[in-house]
Amino acid sequence: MNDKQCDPICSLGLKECSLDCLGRGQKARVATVGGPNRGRLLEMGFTRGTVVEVSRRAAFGGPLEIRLRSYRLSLRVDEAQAIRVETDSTNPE
Amino acid sequence: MIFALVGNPNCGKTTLFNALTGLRQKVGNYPGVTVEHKQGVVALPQGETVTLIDLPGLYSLTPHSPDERIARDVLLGYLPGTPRPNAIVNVVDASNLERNLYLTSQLMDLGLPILVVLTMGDTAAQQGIYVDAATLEKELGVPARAVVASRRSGWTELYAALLELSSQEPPPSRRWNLPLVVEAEAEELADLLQRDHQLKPREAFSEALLLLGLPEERREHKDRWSPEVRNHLAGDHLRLLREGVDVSVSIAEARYADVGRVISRAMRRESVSPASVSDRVDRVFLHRFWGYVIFIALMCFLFQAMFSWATIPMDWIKSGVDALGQTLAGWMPDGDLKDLVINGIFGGVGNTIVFLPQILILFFFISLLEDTGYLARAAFLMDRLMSRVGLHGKSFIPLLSSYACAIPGIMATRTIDSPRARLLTILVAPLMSCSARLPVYAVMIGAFIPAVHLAGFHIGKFYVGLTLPALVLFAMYALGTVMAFLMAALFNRTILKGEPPSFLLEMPPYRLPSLRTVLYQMGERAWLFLKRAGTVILSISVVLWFLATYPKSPDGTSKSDQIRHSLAGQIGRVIEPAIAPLGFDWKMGIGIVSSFAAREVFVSAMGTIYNVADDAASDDSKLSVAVGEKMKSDINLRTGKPTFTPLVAIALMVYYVLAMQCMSTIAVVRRETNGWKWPLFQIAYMTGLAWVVTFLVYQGGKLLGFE
Ligand SMILES: Nc1nc2c(ncn2[C@@H]2O[C@H](COP(=O)(O)OP(=O)(O)OP(=O)(O)O)[C@@H](O)[C@H]2O)c(=O)[nH]1
Ligand SMILES: [Mg+2]
Repeated sequence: MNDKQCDPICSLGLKECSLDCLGRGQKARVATVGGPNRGRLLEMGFTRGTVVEVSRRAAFGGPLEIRLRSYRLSLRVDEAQAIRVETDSTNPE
Repeated sequence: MIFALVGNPNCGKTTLFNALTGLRQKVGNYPGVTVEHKQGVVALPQGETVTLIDLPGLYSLTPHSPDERIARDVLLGYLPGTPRPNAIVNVVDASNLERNLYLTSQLMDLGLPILVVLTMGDTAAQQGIYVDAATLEKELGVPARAVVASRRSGWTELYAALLELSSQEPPPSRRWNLPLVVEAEAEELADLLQRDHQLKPREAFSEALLLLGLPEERREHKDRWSPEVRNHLAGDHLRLLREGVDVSVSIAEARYADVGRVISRAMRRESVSPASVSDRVDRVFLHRFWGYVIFIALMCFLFQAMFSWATIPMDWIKSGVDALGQTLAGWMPDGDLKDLVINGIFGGVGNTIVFLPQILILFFFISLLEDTGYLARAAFLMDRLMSRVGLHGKSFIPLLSSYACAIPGIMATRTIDSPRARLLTILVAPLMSCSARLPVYAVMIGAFIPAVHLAGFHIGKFYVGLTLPALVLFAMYALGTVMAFLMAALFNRTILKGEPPSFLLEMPPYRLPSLRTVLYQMGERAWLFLKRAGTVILSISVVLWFLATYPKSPDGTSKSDQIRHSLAGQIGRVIEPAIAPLGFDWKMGIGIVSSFAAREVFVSAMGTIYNVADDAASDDSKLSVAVGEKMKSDINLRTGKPTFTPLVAIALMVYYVLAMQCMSTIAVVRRETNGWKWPLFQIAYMTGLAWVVTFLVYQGGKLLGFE
């Protein structure tokens, strides 16, 4: 389930992909948010252009830890899949 | 005057509440500690008083879980029986300013006077973040005060601000803008809300934004809003969808843009430190391999500590209780009264309070886990397992709290947004071994499991390492935990099918636990335990003594014969056929039945019964509360073999791990699930499970030659 086809390009920092495709320590900007928790994620700060970083991934395909707006949030892989991010070449920050 | 404490989860609301009211509500370093509203009175300097309401944490005014719903309902006056607050004390975590101010932005829409209280200034400073309260006040347009509740710093200013809060102006109107279409629709809807529901203009606009921001109608809307409002809203949603406007996105973006403006002025960020302490600790504690090793090592350490550290104070208590009993027995004239006091009360209550040290050690560790912030880490590590069995990421905290007691554990499920995952958690939470089972395990293990050293070394007289009793204790806790997961997986695939629930858990920074909080929690637990010993256990001991003593047999009958013919003996033998296949005799049956009042009653019941039955107990100077010794020497008259063997002891513990034997839990489950269906189901499945597993353990053990 979590070894889905992540565009190899997204790790090269070129275009849009889902949040769970980011490698550890990689940063990107939020593009769109979906999934059942969409409203909550928006309220928690996943608005367009926000810089997010995957700071940690648990073993066995467990949750991801995301850093945004100077706090840390854990979410499951399926939730991260519903968040699209842009990894533009003009590296954020 | 009533003020409500409102803020994000874990921002320090309850700490502030306790400091202001002098009450002792529970605080802990993870989101979702407070799940109920609590009132307290604050005495202000000029002799005035205000009522303060502590609320569960909120990320926004659109609730997603029962605890958030409680906070929102109290704040907006939806909760019957609770008066609507006159003003808001908005607690804001300075180290997490941006997201905290999102809620502030929503609160300002309500039009109630607001005071912003900045907490965690110390944590923020460690991260190189400095927030200036005066600038924040200017930019927001509402008073803001920085405090450190534990040190009472900023207190005079806080009191002054609270004094003014009741007569304060409402906050300024919003300074941010929405897309014109959204703005127009919101105005229309707000007019309708004013007309149909007599809301004040600002309240109505705030509510209109909340309603427009929700893509689907919620069930609670049916009872709350008039059909016109709901129809209009449905039309709005369609129209905006057609125009390609996403309302929830535009509202969130507009608010965050305004928050960004505020923090760009009020917050200063100094050179970003390479990595905060929490980050560095988490590199190890959340490591993909070492994280799990540490987690398991911590658990083993906990059980070893509960067993070996407790023995010394337990011996003290035991000798104290024995000495007291012997003195009493020496004073009292022989007769039924003496018998009642010594055998009934002393045997019952005395045997139970011996376990106080173990309870204290358990709660010491639980408070450390809660206050340091490790609990949220453990939830992160265990989440994969939780999601496999259909549990919510937040189910971990209620389940872990159930090691203390299932009741706070079940209450803590209020933080779970998915109703299905919440029910699943409630159903399996009582399988986690609570502290009331600890005395049962301890007495059985102490009497029947030899203290074999498994792995470790000696330092002089002291042994450091794992012993067999500790391992058995660990196994009992593990059995309950594994069963909870298995049953959750089973229910998830059968009666409670559904989508896998989510996991959105904020990771708090590590904090040094405050000694006062830890000691207070231990003290409170000790008091509860002793209170229970003095009430429930005392009364049951008295009742059991009567049942075990009357009707009296003719003089000269041996004590063990006499008790077999007593009422208790007769009742016990009615139960016996049901439990004989599990290896239990009638005395244990009486113990199991009386455990319905509280599980630790088993120990006191055994204490009373064995004291009454003990032929040797007439010698006052040999009097002792050591029920374990008496169980060891009990011989089954029919077979001539000991009633208790290590196998029976294990079987009994397994039964206690799995059986539902707690009235208070049943009552709480009934309240939290609004009906009798689920508590009855829970009693049925847990009792069935307990019987079957115990049967397998006992009969299997016999086949393997353990007797
Ligand atoms: N460093 C620091 N820690 C604080 C401060 N205020 C509270 N804490 C700690 O922060 C943690 C959370 O405090 P609580 O008062 O339980 O927070 P809460 O807002 O009531 O949390 P919920 O009930 O879960 O919403 C606890 O560990 C407190 O000891 C502060 O000003 N500075
Ligand atoms: Mg609280």
